[in-house]
Amino acid sequence: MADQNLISEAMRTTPTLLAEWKILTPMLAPLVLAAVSLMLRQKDRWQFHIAVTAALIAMIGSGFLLFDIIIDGPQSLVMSGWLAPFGIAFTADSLSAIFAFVASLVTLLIILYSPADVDKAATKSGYYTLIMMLLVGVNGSFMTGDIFNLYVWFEVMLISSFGLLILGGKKIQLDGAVKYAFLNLLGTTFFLIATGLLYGVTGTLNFADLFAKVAASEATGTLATLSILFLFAFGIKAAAFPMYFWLPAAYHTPRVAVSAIFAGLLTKVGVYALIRIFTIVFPDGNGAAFELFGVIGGLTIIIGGLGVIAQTELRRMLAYLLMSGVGIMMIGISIHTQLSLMATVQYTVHSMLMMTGLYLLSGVIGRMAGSFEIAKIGGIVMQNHFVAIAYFGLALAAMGLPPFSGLWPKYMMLMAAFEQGYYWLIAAILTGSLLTIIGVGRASIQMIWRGGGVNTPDGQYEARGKRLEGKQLRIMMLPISIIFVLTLWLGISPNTLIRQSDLAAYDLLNVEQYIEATFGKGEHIE
Amino acid sequence: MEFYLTILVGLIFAASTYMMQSRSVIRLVLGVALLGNAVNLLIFTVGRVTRDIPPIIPADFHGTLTGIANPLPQALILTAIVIGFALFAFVLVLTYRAYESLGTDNSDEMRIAEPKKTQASKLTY
Repeated sequence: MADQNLISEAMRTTPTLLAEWKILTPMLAPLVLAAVSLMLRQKDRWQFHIAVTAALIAMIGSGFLLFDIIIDGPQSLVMSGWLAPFGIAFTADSLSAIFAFVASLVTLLIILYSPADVDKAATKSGYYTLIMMLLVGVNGSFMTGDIFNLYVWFEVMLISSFGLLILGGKKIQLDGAVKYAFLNLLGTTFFLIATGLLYGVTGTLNFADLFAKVAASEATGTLATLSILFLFAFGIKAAAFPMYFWLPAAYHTPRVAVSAIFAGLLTKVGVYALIRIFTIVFPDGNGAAFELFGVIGGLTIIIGGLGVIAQTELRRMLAYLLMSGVGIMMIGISIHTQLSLMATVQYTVHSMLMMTGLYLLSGVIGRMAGSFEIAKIGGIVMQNHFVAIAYFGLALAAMGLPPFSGLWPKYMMLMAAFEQGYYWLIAAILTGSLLTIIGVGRASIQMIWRGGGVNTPDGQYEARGKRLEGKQLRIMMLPISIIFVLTLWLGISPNTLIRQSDLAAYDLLNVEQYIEATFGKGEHIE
Repeated sequence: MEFYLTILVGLIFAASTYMMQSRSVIRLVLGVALLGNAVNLLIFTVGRVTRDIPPIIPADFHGTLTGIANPLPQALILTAIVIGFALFAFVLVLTYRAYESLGTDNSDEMRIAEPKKTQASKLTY
């Protein structure tokens, strides 16, 4: 029958298997449990357990998804039985699955830290619900195969982050939130503008469909402009120079667990969006985009490094450290070879773990010293050896020194830049690293080795802050220790991560599999 | 029709850019709201404005209709309006709370989260 054929060109006629839903677990589990936790918001003892379950299911779900992708290639599911490009597609390749796995792991660790940092009132105001919704937005952004849907996930993430940022309502939080809210709102609005115009030029919103439509389009000038508009919109999200000002203005204002989840996840979603858009929609950069990536990346590294030296507040210093790392990821997209994209993926995973660890640790140090001003912190090594060792290790990871995980991606990025002859990018990475080493090293000497505040004579020890009681310290140090062991493991035996990021980079540069998965094998419609 | 709509979108963009350059946070809020509406109109325009038949498929017809208005931009705009409305409501409340507790709506004076200039020499290490 002719009618039946027409329908089968636009809709699935076979039932959806239960196994195909696995791609949705990283979003669906936290979404459902967030709704449950909202209904049970008066039962503040249950909230923590619900959140742990949600993050755990999301982590295991994305882990299984990663295994399937390694064996079978990218996985896809289109909503309501419509076929791509008519329905809204969720398509996950190895990049999506790796990022979703690490993001869920980081969220789990932050939830484990939370009881030490979040009081009863904040729990009842929905702290854990918002954390889960943030994870929904982040994992959704990683999994979606549709550019308008990506915008929606960005907004889910944004509104949850607004809630987390102002939870508690202190003056300093409101001040930071005003800057954070307006600049991020502007960023997503520009993303929407670019998406609307891209739809106007190509008539489609599906990533896999955009690949062919953009390549075939004759409006090269418009598309080149659009690629820069996307770079601007996601540059704000990723906190790249010169669009980064919201980040150091806001990240030191909320409670430490919230800073940590922001540092671990939010900028990385911006970087992910840049990687995705500039490998599948604009795979050859359309004009000057890749050169611009290099310039922005180089400047971000150096400005971030200078910020690390200049800041006197611990968490503001870490914000610049985070920014400097974003520069390295941008450079990886700029060089755009298998090796450089692999280094970008690897560095992003390293940065998610390391920055979360450092922010969580800043909470412990801040509580020990009773202040976040580096000049007032001192004698950490005398108060607690484990805290000092953990800080030392994570600082080495941040600087990119062995034996921690920062070394390998930086080394490979340098190698990629060397192969393609981008000598000034090598200079930028090395200068940025040197500035970071000076800044973080100087702060460590003050905080760890000096006996007390800034004028304490050498060799003398003045305890300023209060000692942390055992149980609370144990809660706080558990997730930090896990991150410490992970970064050490990824530094000593980097092969697991290198193999995964190599696969992710291969998927990014060879998008046929991604497109095949979205359209369904052998049912490609022209 | 599209030509005039394009000019209108441009004008609204210009107005919102002007508003967002203000130091007063309440003008910033209005600028962002205006920008959101400009984007909605932009998506409406890029979807090709036609005065054709609405895209409703008759009950006994199976197949693709030709010469119909494009329904997708309207679905996109609807989503964008809902999201934009929620964010606008949040930003409005945030601005009010910030004005209440900081005592100013001048963004230049909102510097509680920034390091104080007078303290800088004391806090160097």
